[in-house]
Amino acid sequence: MKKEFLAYKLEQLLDEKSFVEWVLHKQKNREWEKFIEENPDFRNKVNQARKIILLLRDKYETLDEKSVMELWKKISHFEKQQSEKRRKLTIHRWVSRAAVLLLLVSLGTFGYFYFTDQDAGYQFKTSSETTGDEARMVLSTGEEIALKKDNSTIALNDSANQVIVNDSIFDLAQKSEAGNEEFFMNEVIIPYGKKSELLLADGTKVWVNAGSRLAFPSKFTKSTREVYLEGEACFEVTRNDNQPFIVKTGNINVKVLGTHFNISAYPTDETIETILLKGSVAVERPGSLGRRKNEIILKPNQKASFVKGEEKLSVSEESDADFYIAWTYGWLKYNKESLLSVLRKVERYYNISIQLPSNYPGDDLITGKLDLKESLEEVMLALADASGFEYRIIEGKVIIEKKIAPLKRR
Amino acid sequence: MTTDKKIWDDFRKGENKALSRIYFNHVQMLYRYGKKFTQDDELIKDTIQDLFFDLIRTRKNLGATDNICFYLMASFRRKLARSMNKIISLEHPENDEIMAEIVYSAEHDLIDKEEFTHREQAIKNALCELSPKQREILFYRFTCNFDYDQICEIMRLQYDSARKQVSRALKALKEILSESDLFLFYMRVKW
Repeated sequence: MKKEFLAYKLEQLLDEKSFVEWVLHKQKNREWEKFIEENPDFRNKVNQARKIILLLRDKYETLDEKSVMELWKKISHFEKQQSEKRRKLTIHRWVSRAAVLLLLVSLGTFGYFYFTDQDAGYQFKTSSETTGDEARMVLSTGEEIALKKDNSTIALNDSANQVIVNDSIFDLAQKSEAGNEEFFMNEVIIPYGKKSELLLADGTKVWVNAGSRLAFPSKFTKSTREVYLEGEACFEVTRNDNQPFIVKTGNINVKVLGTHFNISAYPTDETIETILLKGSVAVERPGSLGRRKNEIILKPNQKASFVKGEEKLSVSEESDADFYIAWTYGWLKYNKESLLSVLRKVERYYNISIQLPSNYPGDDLITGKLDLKESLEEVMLALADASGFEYRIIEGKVIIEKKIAPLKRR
Repeated sequence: MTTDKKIWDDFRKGENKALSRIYFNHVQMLYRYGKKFTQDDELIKDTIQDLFFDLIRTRKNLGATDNICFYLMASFRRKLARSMNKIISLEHPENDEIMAEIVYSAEHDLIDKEEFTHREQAIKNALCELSPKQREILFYRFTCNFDYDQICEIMRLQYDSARKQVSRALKALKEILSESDLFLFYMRVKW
């Protein structure tokens, strides 16, 4: 920080870009704060300058989230079209096909409660450790491919029997005729702090979120297309009425004909949620000994919740379903969500642990969005600002210390 | 934090996440900016879409920038002026400029009030003195934190004239505000 600032006139101070930057985006620059603390006589002038800047704040409106997303869909679609014209590897199915439906499923505590009595028990070949550092894909041959990026792209090319991972090509096992698909399952393991985009053999696109595993065949040869999920994923399913697409999670199955949806099935969550944005899906709790089969058909903008302990499947309206897929764009959005639940998501995305004091009111409802491409520090600052707490980051752990009065916002 | 320069270069190189960063970081600002010129939401959205389509089409030929916000706003303003003047060109065939109408939130808060305290009156008077052009310059200077070269480029002004307008505005604000002791209290509640 420059000593000359101390002699600045009000106008000069207002001409200083870093100063204006600090007033406008306070949380991003602590240097000025420190400088003023060290020079208390300077504070009066700073306050005057600050008041002028704040007095000149414009009244403005924001574009509603729905329009933001719609506009983004058009723009990203256009980008895909353009880049496809150039790309040599014709992965043409990355472009969403016509009649794509939109569905989002969020699943909680999978595995721990009813893992043993599910009808189609798939055992992941890999250990249940999704907490490692390295995202990886395990092919049906047993070959392991490290997914080096934070956001990897994987595409199956069934005609060539190849898989393309971040622009590198790997060969898949030649499978026997109409064999048992389970033997030919590939798995993708995404640890906390990473995510991945996949293109399955039928053209279905899957976004796999942090701390998740997905098992899928190299080719869909059965009468249904089945994949297994633990954690959270968003699906954009290629329509095929003759071969329904089923996501199995242990507790519930989600059956679709052609749809775009998101499933979150983290073993630590109590509730499994399925949100449908467009189209139609069936959420099913398979029947078994001593238990009736339970099925719900979802309409767009509806959410099915399955509470594991109570074994109950219920439906509610969800006006802002786009919130649930914001993570595929690198955003975390929350609308009247408890602080605790938001913090738990931040833990997953950044692969850290956050500690709250035992008496901390974690059920405060907060609304907002976080850019998950920012550093952990930035995200915690934004949350601390909105929710009013102090925290420290020590040895990769976030320790929330105490609640303070939230800053008033305009 | 990734800098604008890096994001922009990633985009030019065709990195696939760069576009979404650029879009989501700036779409609200572009909308907010568009609302200064027109209340036609569809026109604003179309212009944003058009702007991004152009970026995608020409990404290989784009120049470097370390201020994406400025780049987008300047192109946005040009595009918007073109389509708005197409719409009203019959009435004003010679006019290819557009006028920003900026309302301050302090001003807006006072709109429905019937009686003013001394300091509210002072705020109102101070802001009321600012011409539309001054307001636009001040918006770039203190909301967008653009420098004078950028302001001149976006508004097609002379450097001296832009500086003069700002210093005149600041002087007036400073006087009125200190006269009425506003520095002592205004907006204390908002911090």
